[in-house]
Amino acid sequence: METLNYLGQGFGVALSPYNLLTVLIGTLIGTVVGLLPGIGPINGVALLIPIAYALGLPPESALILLAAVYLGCEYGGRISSILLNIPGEASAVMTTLDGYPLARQGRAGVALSLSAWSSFLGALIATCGMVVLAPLLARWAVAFGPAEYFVLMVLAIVALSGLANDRPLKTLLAALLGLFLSSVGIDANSGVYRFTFGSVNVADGIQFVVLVLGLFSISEILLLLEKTHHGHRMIEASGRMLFNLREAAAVGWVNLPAACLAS
Amino acid sequence: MKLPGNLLVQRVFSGAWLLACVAAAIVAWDYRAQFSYEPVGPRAYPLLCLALMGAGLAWLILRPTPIERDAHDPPLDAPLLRKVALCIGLFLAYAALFEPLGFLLDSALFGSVLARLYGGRPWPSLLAGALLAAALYLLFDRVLEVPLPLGPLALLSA
Repeated sequence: METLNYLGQGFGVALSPYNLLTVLIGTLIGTVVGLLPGIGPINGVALLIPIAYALGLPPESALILLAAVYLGCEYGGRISSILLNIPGEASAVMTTLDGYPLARQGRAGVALSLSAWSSFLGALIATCGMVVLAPLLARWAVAFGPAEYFVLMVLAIVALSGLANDRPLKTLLAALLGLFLSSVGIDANSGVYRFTFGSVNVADGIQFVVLVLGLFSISEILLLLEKTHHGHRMIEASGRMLFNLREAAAVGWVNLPAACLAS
Repeated sequence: MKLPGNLLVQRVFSGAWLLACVAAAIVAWDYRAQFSYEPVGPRAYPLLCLALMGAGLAWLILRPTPIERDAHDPPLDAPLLRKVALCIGLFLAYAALFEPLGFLLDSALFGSVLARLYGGRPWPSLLAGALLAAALYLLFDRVLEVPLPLGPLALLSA
């Protein structure tokens, strides 16, 4: 098939030493940019497009640089999630649930490397899947209508209760509070100002970064204050840096279905 | 009837939240669209969320679930609660003084005070706060081109 032929050509270009160096630099920049709360992959790439243009790279290298920055930004959010329990982006929220307890046990290195490996595996499977299945996915995407979106949202809220199985009512109340806060601002259908109480700044709605900073950062600062008041150390220095095969196998059976779902 | 402290605190919190829900429902009742193709209007979604929240909160008031504290959680004694209240007051003061004092002075001041709260020695906390504020200002202003208020320092830079 000519698709495989073209793919082979593309890999030939992408695996040249110059482009591999570009990938390395791009992921480094992306990780640093993604580490900052509020600057996710999309903002990071948007900030760095002028730089990529000004560098005067050949077109494929510039695209590789931007793609590497994108993936690095996706990964960088995990660093602050694991070490500080402060997710910078919506996609990093789930990493705090497992990563931060691991960091508190002194296995932060394992958590970071394991999340890097999972990120790589997921991105690889998703990219390959998208390349192979693109026409089919396009048909499905067009057929995804309002009813499907609604059912997807109901699935998300219901799956939330699976996270806290000993306190389902309080989890549901928190989810409802979040849903209610999303209605602050201008109603999309009728243009009525809901719950803005005359303030112009709230007319845009409550921004996600503000919520994340308030809920996660401030509560984490207060928690750390409680811990250090009694002389505990915040995060123990970890011994081992890399995960071993047993841990990789343990998360493997979650990685693969998640990657297929993601693509 | 003598209530255990834990359950009473939860009941009071749920009750306060329930009152806030009722107030929000009263505010939301008046949201009407002049003309709209949507049959229920802009008040349906907030009222739905508030109704569900109210039902859950009423249940919580009747039957609160006690919060179990882990063995290795730090105990909440009076000095600690004073520190936490001071920290919250610091955050509010930081937000209030952001425009008048500017980013640099405000962050340096509150960074140093927060470092002292965390148990740092006086001079290193001051230095750390000032350096961090200056570095962040340079990062935002020069590299990321995000405008930040300078406050009184604008007279120096102009």
